Amino acid sequence: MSCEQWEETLMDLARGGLVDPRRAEEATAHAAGCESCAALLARERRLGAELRSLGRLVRSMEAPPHAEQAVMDGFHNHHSRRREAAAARWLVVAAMLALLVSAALVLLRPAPKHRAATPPVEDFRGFVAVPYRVAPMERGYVVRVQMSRNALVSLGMPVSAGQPEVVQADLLLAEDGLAQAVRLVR
Amino acid sequence: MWTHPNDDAGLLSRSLAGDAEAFTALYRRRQSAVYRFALHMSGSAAVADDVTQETFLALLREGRGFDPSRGPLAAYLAGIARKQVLKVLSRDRVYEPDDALEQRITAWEDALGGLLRRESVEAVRRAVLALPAQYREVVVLCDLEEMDYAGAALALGVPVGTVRSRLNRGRRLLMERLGVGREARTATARCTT
Repeated sequence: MSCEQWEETLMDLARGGLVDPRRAEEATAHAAGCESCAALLARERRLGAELRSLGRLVRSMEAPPHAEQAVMDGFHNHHSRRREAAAARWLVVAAMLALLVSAALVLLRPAPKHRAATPPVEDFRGFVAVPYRVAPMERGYVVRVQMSRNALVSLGMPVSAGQPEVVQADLLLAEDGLAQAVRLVR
Repeated sequence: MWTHPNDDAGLLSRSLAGDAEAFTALYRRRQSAVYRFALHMSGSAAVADDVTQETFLALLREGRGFDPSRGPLAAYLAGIARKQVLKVLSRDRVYEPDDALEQRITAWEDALGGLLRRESVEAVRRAVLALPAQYREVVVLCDLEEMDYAGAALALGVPVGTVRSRLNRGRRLLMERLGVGREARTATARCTT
């Protein structure tokens, strides 16, 4: 091992960090036979000893007690802010979900059929089915007409004696135009 | 990776989940090394105090980035502390050793019953403080804190080879500053073996 090669091992040799036992043995043997390199090793070890002395001197030094209190205050503030942020995120998510559900309800609501021709559901109250009606009606529309009392009777509508000769009535017509039910307009 | 709830990684995990008891335990276990690193790097007890606090608060913010498979938490913390120290050093440029630190060291020396020569230790401390930051940090980690090369590499974010070369250079500079330079090599004939 030349001096140049040996110098490459100097720091690790002095610090006890040469992991290859054969190389450590060669380096130690070189230093034992070379006065100049032995002097360098001695200086390197002296420096190491001085550094270790300084390291040990301050080894038991610690941060002052108030630092722990400050750090723990910071810890509680940090997690308090995180909890608030998490709560705010959940609120936003909940609001968005509510918005989505509302929008879905509006969009998915079944559209009323024949909105123009068919009155609202409650307007079908009071209809009396005509006697010749043979099958349930699937679709239809309402027309308002003036009818005589006799026509009403022929459609099966009960007529009282006090009613005028001509009355207004709603006729519920099927798609084929046949009257299915009738009611008086009040 | 599996971690025990009371090892460093376990304590960190519990701390990040809001467990104050775990964070207290972690702080008490690791604050001393962080404080000493900052003290050696800055030469100021006040800076070391601030850096220690900032390091643990930064750990709360950035701790989820810690990967136990890459190295110990001590090295990860040293990396955070290093950033904090360099921030202070770049802001305030020069730090003279403060009186409070001098008094504390004197007190420790007295407590050790004069086992160490004050002049020598003080000279080494000043020489370390006078090193450029990139050499000082490896000397502090590897020689004063006795961290291994791999840990120092993790803390500094450089390859192990860089740690070794910087440590070698830092120690050469220290020898020159402490008057134990390498002039002996020129005075003594180099052997040929």
